Amino acid sequence: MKLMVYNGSPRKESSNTKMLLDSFLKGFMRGRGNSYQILYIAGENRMSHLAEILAGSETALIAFPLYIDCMPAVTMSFFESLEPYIGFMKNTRLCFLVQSGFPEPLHSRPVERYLEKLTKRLGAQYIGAIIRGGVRSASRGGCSRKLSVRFELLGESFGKTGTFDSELVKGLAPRDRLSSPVLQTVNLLDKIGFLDRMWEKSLKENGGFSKRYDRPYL
Amino acid sequence: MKILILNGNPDEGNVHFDKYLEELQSSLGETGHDVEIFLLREMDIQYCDGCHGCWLRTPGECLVSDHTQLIRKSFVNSDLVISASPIRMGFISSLLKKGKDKFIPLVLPFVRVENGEIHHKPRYDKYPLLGFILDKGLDGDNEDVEIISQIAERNAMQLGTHLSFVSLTSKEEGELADEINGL
Repeated sequence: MKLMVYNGSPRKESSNTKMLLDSFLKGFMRGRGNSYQILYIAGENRMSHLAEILAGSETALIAFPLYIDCMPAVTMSFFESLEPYIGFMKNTRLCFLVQSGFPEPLHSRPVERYLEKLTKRLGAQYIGAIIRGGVRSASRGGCSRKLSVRFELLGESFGKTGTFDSELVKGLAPRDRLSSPVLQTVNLLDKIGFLDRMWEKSLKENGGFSKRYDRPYL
Repeated sequence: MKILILNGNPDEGNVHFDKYLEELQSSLGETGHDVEIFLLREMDIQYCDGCHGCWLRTPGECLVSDHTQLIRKSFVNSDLVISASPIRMGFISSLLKKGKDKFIPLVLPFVRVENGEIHHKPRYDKYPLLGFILDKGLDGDNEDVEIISQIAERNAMQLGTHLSFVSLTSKEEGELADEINGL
């Protein structure tokens, strides 16, 4: 299978999205005869060119980080460029990956619904969407070995069957909300200031610590 | 009320949309509201590139000095902010989304539990009520409106405020103005 991969992250090569895609594609390439090509949406001046490639693809994976509860603006700009192909993509199979820093998958569910609708609008076939929350930034050590193995396994099974293994997809987003014991723990960690500490460290490293509560617009 | 309208219509040929908002502005002005419209397509708005500089280096402010500084300043000093866009490919325009992606400096990087979910802590004490005006255009349908509303609800939750309305341009602007007067 030839897979066209669209990375919709504004951070392109240094994105957490790329980090997850790398593991997925490593597994995918274990399938005989599989190949892929990666296209970066951000920085592309000719969205219509990217759209044309998608319309001519058999299978494509579109991946992006959650920005303000949905796709980044640049990814939306790519979706807008698909307008000429409404109803004409019946030979294309689409799947998606949405990753977020927020731990709960529920933050990504509305955009997941959007993606299914977008696929329908294009007349394409919907393979599914991988939703993953709690993705740790690449600059803070990146994804754990366990997570990258999960993505490899998902990529491997996708490379063989052309579909998402529902158990593996579910395993990446086991429950939409944090359980109440976890929420209680998070609340406690917040009260003792532990939760802020990770960001405080980054603030100190970047010279913003003393101004961290600034309100420049008042 | 101080009301900000973000006009995310990318197409200057779509005069009906702009006109609708202008008429709404004058109706609301007549009942004593102070209404400002930002025409996003004529503003310099750079994409958020996810650098986190607005949290870590110049907290509360984007490292890129484009016109979104004006938008954010007006945003935090308004009582109601109405995002307006024709529906394109089932969503708000990427132009409007480009402006919204730059709202990240309005919250803190720190997180807390709110409504049983993890959300960012607020940077400001108070945020405006939010509203949406959508135009279904040729291709938009009720499901699109529903999905946009769901995402808008989440936006409001992230900012610790409320989504007051999602309205369509098929509604008379006078009727919408009355509803806004009643908020």
